[in-house]
Amino acid sequence: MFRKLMRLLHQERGSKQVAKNRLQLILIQDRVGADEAIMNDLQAKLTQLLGEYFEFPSEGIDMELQRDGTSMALTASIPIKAMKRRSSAEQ
Amino acid sequence: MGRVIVLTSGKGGVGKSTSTANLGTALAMIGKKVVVVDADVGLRNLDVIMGLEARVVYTSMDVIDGTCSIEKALVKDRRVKALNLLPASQKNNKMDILPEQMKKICKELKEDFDYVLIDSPAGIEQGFQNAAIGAEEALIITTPEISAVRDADRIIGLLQNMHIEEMNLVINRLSPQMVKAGNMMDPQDIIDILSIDLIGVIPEDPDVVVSTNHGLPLAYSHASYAGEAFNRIAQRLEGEDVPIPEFKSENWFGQLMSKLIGRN
Repeated sequence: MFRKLMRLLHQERGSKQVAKNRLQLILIQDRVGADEAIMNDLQAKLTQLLGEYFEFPSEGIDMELQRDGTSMALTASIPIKAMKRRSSAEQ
Repeated sequence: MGRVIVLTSGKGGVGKSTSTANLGTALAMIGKKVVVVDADVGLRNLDVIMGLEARVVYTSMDVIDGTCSIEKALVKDRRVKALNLLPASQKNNKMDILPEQMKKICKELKEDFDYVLIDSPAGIEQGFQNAAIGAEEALIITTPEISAVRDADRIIGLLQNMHIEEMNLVINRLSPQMVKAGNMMDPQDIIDILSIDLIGVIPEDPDVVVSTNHGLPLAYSHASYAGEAFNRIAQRLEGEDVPIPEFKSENWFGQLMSKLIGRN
């Protein structure tokens, strides 16, 4: 009885949470992998947004999804050539 | 004009054929004209699950070949009026049927029936494409396991690409005890992930094996949990507002009490 109680108190939230977390990460990779347009679209939009502030060399932004254990990260390597001068209208 | 609904899952063994047989039975019992189509060419099973295997003479392949009419190829269920089966050929393979041919069969069937339920093979290849091509709606069958839900997600994406927008989720083989204990994803977890509407939850039920042994779909007898769950899905398909029973994990206090008292 005491052992049962201890085991229960030490038990984490149950394996379903582990399953759900794993599944969410798997599906990020699956969905991005199944649809190349997602990454291309994101890349184009990022380039456009950042282009308001910076000048890039021609190769542009390099992006990838990286999984590290229980978390997922979107990393972007953004080489910058120069900073744009902010126009007076925006200040 | 009837509704053409494909039952599909991506992953094998999650209960597509069992669901097709039971939903077909349930719909026919509430007075609908139903035909279930086995699209698993080369690995047919729907005839066996429905107990109609001894009466199969022609198949969808014979209809395509022009050997017989659709009407002649249908196997009429003698226990449930207005329930029909269009069997798949066992000696051909999935590449022998072209999507256009399957589309034509669906088009003809929906002229005469209220429901055309298509039992898709596992996988995402031509067999699945053939099964889905003539459908306007889909029922996605999954179980509360990572691999099944992952495959369901893939299938949902493929169906969207085929412009099938009307999709509903059936969660099969859910163990209420395991959900309660927090060891199985509950329906809300799965809906959160797949983002499609839930139309029913079928509890894990040993009676399914027994009914398959006998070749009589469970929905027929109104005497089992799983069978009644299928009957409720049929009512929901008909637009009736039948609530889905809730399956949730208990909080730690509930779990503690359950374990201490020993109830499951």
